[in-house]
Amino acid sequence: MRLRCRICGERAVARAGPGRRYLCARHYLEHFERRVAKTVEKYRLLRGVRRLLVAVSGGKDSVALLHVLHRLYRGRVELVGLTIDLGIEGYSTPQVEFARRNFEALGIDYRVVGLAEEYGFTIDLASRRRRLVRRPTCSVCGIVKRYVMNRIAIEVGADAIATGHNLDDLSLFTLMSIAQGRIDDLVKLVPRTEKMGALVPRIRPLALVSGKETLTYVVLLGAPFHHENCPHAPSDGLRPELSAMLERLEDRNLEFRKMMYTNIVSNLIPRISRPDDKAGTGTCTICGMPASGKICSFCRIRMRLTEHPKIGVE
Amino acid sequence: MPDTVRVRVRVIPGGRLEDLELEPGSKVADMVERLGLALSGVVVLRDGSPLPEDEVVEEGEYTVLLAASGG
Ligand SMILES: [Zn+2]
Ligand SMILES: [Zn+2]
Repeated sequence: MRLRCRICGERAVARAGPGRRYLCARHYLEHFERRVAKTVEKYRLLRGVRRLLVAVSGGKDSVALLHVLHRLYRGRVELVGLTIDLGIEGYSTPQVEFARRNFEALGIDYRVVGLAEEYGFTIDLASRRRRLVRRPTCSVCGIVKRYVMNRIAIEVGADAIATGHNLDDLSLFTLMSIAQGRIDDLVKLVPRTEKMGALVPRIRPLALVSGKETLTYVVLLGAPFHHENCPHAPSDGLRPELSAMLERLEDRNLEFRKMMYTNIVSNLIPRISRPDDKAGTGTCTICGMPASGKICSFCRIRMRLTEHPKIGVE
Repeated sequence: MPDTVRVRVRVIPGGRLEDLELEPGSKVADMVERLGLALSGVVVLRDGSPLPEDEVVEEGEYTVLLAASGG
């Protein structure tokens, strides 16, 4: 049996949309791009954005993000790429390489920031010394990425930063932050965060497409992407379990995640948000970037990893 | 007509290889279920091209890409 595209009769590659129609490669690409364009319009993600920093890890989502933005907004929004070499052995080098290949293929200007070269530490080091940094490695990695993205966005004069967070990520993160009572984190999980002091707005154009959809998109485009698990990602515990549970739920209740996430964004977050007087309004006395205290989280991590005596730590 | 359809499936990331024997007429969705995975969490490829979940499985090799990985 060969299933056929409902629009043109070519061989089908996937079912898509609320109608679960069969689509061929060409019509799937169109469908995906339309979904992203709708998200951009719905949440006005590109309002006031002339230059956009696109954070690309080299994985499927950020590669999809780069291509879809290029295909939809080329000529209207200037894209600048950023990839960060996190210094994770056996993982970061190929990741950066995949990111680079995509920037080059599309002719997009880009920066590569090496954590080791620029700041004197790596995520591997943060993991080996996690008792010293007093944070789980994934949390360090998140802080580091947000810091570097913001810094480079300011340097290149970008009006916003785009990241490849998809619906799977955002529905999982919102659920976890509700369950764990992290309301300050929850209110930031919107498709667009606004400028706050020196914090550049962050946008998530893939907020309403799933990981399955971004994966299908990059496969169909034939774009090179890195498809490995980060060695520091926990293979058990709440996060992977909840993620598997949401996938199961999605199988039975199509578009459950989209319903949950869009309702949280439209109906819950506005009610619990208040003008935040803490985050981003202070300035780090060391690096001058936004901080909630005297020293920003990034500088605290960096100091613990680079200024602490090595003896007895490894 | 053979009474089973033999397939070899590679799961990425990880590279796990599974040899499965499926009933004739089994669909991609049945194969994914046999692997203990959720359809919403995978893209199934044959010769590098994605397949809809109700495509009938034929003998040969398949690749299953897990969506919950990478970045
Ligand atoms: Zn078609
Ligand atoms: Zn600082």
